[in-house]
Amino acid sequence: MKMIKSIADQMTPLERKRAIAEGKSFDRFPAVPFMGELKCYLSGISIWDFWHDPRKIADAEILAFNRYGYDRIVIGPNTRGITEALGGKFIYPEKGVPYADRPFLDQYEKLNEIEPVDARRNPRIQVFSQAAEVLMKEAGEIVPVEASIGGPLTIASNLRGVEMLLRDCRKYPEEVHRLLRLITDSQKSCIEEAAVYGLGIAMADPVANPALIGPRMYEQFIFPYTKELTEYAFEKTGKKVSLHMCGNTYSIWKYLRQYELNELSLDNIIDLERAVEELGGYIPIAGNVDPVEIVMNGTKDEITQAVWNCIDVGRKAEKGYTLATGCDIPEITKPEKIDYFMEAVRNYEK
Amino acid sequence: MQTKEELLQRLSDCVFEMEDEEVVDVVNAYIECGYDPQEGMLQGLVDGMKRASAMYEEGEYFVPELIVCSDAMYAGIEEFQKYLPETEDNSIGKVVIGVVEGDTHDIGKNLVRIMMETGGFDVHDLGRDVPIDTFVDYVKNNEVDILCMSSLMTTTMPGMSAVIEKLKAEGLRDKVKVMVGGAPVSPAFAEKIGADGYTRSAIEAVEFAKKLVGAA
Repeated sequence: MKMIKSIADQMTPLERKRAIAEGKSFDRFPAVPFMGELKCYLSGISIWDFWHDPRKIADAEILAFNRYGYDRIVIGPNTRGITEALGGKFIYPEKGVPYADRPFLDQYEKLNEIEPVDARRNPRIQVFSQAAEVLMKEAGEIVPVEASIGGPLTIASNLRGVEMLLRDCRKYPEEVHRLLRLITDSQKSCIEEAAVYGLGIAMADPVANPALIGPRMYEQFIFPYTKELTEYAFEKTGKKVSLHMCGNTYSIWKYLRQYELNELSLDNIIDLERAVEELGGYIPIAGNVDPVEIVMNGTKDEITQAVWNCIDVGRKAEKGYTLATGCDIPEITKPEKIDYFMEAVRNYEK
Repeated sequence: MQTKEELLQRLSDCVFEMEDEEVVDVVNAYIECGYDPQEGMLQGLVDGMKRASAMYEEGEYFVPELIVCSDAMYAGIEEFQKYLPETEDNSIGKVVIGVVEGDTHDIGKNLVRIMMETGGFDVHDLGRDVPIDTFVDYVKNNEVDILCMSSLMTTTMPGMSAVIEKLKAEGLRDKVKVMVGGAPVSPAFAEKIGADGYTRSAIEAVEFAKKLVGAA
């Protein structure tokens, strides 16, 4: 499938990104609605194919981009692909979002036999490498493409089961660190693979949320590995990482602003004004239109108003701002809602 | 010999300080002194869990701490039960709980279960990804005071409404109170689908449930 630049925009996303970086004038604020499995519905491909068929993955991404013209494309392996590459299993339902099967790591002795993923050779990761190759031929000159490597604690919870993992953080912290080391090394291999195709890196770690584990455990179990990964990604790909963090994250902002980030995208429950003040001087920020109450359930006017409100606040961020949704847009959302979202950013009076 | 008060305090501390192995020894020491097991559970173990949940409310404990505290509480209860006769039911009410179909996120549901048991309820856990009919059949075939449902995903929330509609269709809605919860659930949603209540946290859920059964 052929990728085409949106006729509604003067610039391509890459031209826009360069212009903003160089302090030149640009046509509109960059916008990234998180599309998730909605792309399957748009393109009519199954959830299974969206995660397993390189050609269909690329086509689904191109089709969605051609319609909306947003500013970034993100493909796998994601938390799911890396979990599977390490031996875990996911279930891909006919409808809805894939979910982790029963935990694979029932005892930590199993770690003695598991090597970090070699992304170059691992068939699960190669699915996404092939998709990246197809996609980059089309997108390379138009829009940034990133490979998501998920997040260390979320991958760990897929392998171990979230409740067991949280218990282990208290009772067997050395084993959790062993597991996180294995996962981080696997993610680093995926970063090297992404660099081969010219992709940047995206991350998201929903289980590493302070509402679940608190700020002290974040510092102990998440911060060192995520810092290592963001620095490694910048070194290998030449591009900084786009990180999404769900939920209430105020208590870990002091860690988040130490990463090498292209942007930190924030949940819609976060006060964007406060983020501009407390994070905006350290890292670019992105956010945070409510994906459910506004994008899925809202009217066109409500979507427009919410987009404009976010840009009014976000544009004051010193290191830069991207309009985004606060989380994935539910896959049952009407596709024209994202048209309204993009129309609103195009009509915003700078 | 240690006094009953000292041992009750140690039982409480074992739970609060996450000593899930030591607690068994303390239970045995308590039993050897001939003290009442029922009181040991309530004034000792459950007291420790209540202290843990207060720390959770204050943002000092988080989910990992609550899980290990509850491990200690359940380890102690299991030991006590060896010394209890097949007893009469001491619970303040019967709760059935589950995560609705299509959703496998069950940490929140598990916390509610733990807190409900700590609060004195007899809880039957249907697990996660629970079909609509499983909820309805359980209410039909058992004496239940409160049905609790949760979801973490916006796409599975309608399942809660479907359960309530089916309860109505089968003439069972008045037999049971319905409570709903989960990150995307709101009081407005609870009202819209005809639930009896929504609570924001596991701790609030217990207080609300006690009011529903007239035990608060």
